[in-house]
Order: sequence, then structure tokens, then C-alpha cells
Amino acid sequence: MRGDKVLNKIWFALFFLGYMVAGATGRIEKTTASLFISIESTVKFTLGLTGFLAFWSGILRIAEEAGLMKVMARLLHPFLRRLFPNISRHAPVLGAISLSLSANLLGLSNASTPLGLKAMEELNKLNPNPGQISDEIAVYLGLVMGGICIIPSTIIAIRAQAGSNNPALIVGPILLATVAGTMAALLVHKASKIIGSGKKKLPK
Amino acid sequence: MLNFISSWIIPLFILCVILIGEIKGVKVYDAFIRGAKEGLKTGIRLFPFFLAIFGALAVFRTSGALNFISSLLSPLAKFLGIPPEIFPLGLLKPLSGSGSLGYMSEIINQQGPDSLLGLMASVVGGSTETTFYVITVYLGSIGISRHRHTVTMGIAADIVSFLVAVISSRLFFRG
Repeated sequence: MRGDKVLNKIWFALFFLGYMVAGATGRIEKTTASLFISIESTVKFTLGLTGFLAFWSGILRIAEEAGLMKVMARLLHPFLRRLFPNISRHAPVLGAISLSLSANLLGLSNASTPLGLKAMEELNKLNPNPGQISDEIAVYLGLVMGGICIIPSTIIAIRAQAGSNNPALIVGPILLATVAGTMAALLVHKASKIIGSGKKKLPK
Repeated sequence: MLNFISSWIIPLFILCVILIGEIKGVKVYDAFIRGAKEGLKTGIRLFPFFLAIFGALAVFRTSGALNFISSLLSPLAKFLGIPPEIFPLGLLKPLSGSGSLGYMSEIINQQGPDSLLGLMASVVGGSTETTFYVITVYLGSIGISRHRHTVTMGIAADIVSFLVAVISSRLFFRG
């Protein structure tokens, strides 16, 4: 997580606009009090959340050491063969891709970026035009940005920390939404390939 | 039905993992500790982000500015059939992961995690990955700056997943 330009502008705007409106409506003291109360509640919130995240990471570590990630990779194999038809089935890049996708599927957010970057590195080795986005790289990015997730652990942890009666209730709709988004991304890619090859066929 | 399944998912998953780990000869307690140490690091790393966002949102909310902006966006949101509190979350999602996580948490804490808005915010929060982050970090790592159509792919994912998130929340969580 980095401080991108947009977030910097938004953060500045939140404070600035907030205090402008507070000044205009005579709520300066209330607003400042609310700010300092938020500090305390952020500590409590993060503490509770960290507890859940630590617990969940512990469980997922057991899963990883029990080889469940490898099982996930094997389950993913048929899908990956269809999405990356030009990659030979024993290529190491498929292993890197399935590890990174498994991390996303299981909500292992701290592992997903390092594993994802490893997959990008491997995909770039197969890139016929380095410096340009290959077909496989585009498909992989589509899968990452769509973010298919079966166990959104951070969200479940936040809900549990907020006192939810059923923190995991949102699993089904999130799976639906992430699958839909991923399909949309891949469709855009498919469309751009068709348009691209169409352009090449146009007579000069 | 959904309620029943989802209240069993977590305990079932935990029990299965520990059982399978035990069968496979994993030292489950030691492995748990190793993983928990990682999870602790993640949680602590999140703290400054939450501090920044919750503080800013506290100011923005208490001053009345949030209501003001909400009412400005409201006609557009209503036209699209989206609750005005959720609409800014949808706009923020492609741009910032930590920002949208913080805003989502704010909605969950303010409205209650089991309210329709809290549930919808949760679903929207998990509906997609941050396009801006993936494009810059992943492509940057292999030295590519021209992103061709991948940004369009990401935005398509963001729009579709947002709409599916809002609609499926309404369908699954009504009353």
C-alpha cells in the first residue's frame, strides 16, 4: 500500500473541506473532538483486527505447510491451461501463476503481491517482445485485477472486529462479484485482440 | 440457508485445516505461531493507514461535509440505484486499496456490520483488486510503462464487479 497521488489529494481534501464546512457551520470544536476520539477508536479497532489477522494467518500457515496450496494449484491447472493455451503444461511459470492465484483465492493478502510479482517475472521470461505487454501478461493481469476470492479474510476480520453476528455472510456475493469482474476484464482483452487483428486485416 | 452455510464455513475450514495438517505430520502449533507472526506484521502495518483515513473521515463526517457531498452525489447515485453512502466507495476502489478499505471499515463501523449498508459495503470492498495499484506495481516490476488496454480491463472489472456487488447484496440481504 503506497501513498498514491490521488489518495494524497483526497486526504488533503477531506481535512480541508471538512474544516471549512465545520467553520462555516460552527462545528469546529465538535470536529476536533471527533478527530481525537477517532485516534483512540482506531487503536482499538486495529488491535482487534490484528488479533484476527494473526489468528487467520496462523491457520493458513498450517494449510500451506500441509501442502494445501499445492492441491489448490492442481485444482487450478485445467483453468490455467485454457487461459494460457500457449504455455506448455510443465512450464515453471504455471506454478508461479497458480501460487499467486491461490494466495488471492484464500485471502492471503501479504503473500499475494510477492507471489504476483514472481509470476510477472516468469511471464516476462516468455515474453516475445520485452517492454510490451504480451498476451499472457494481459490475461494474468486480468485475473489479478478481477481478484477472484473465495475467502476474503481481511474483510471477514474487519466485520468480526465490528461485532458482526455472521462475519463470513458476504462470501457468496463477493465470489459472484469477483468472478463477474474477472470475466469482464478478460472479455475486454478478448475484444481488444479481435479489434487488433481486425485492424491488421484492413487493406491499405 | 445462506446464513447457515456461512456460519459454518469458518469453523469447518479451521477444523479441516488443523486435521489435514495433523494427518500430514505438520507441527500444527508451531506452524500456527509462524503464520501468526506474519499476520501480526500485516496488522501493525495497516495501523498508520487506518489512523490516516479514520481521522480524515472523522473530520469530514462530523463537520457535515460528508452529508453535503452525499447530497450532491445523491441524484446521480439514486438514478443508478446505488445507495449514496456506497457510491463514493465504488469511485475510490479503482484508485486506492487502503483508502477504500478504510472507507469500507468506516461504513461498517458506523452503520453496523450486519445492516444492509454494512453488508453491501463489505461486498463492494471485496469485489475487486485495486486497478491503479496492480497496473503500476505489477507492470512497473517488469519495466513496462505503456499499459495498452490493461487499464480498460481493470476499469471494466471495477464497474462490473461494483454493480454485481450492489445488486447481489440487495438480493441476498434484503430483510
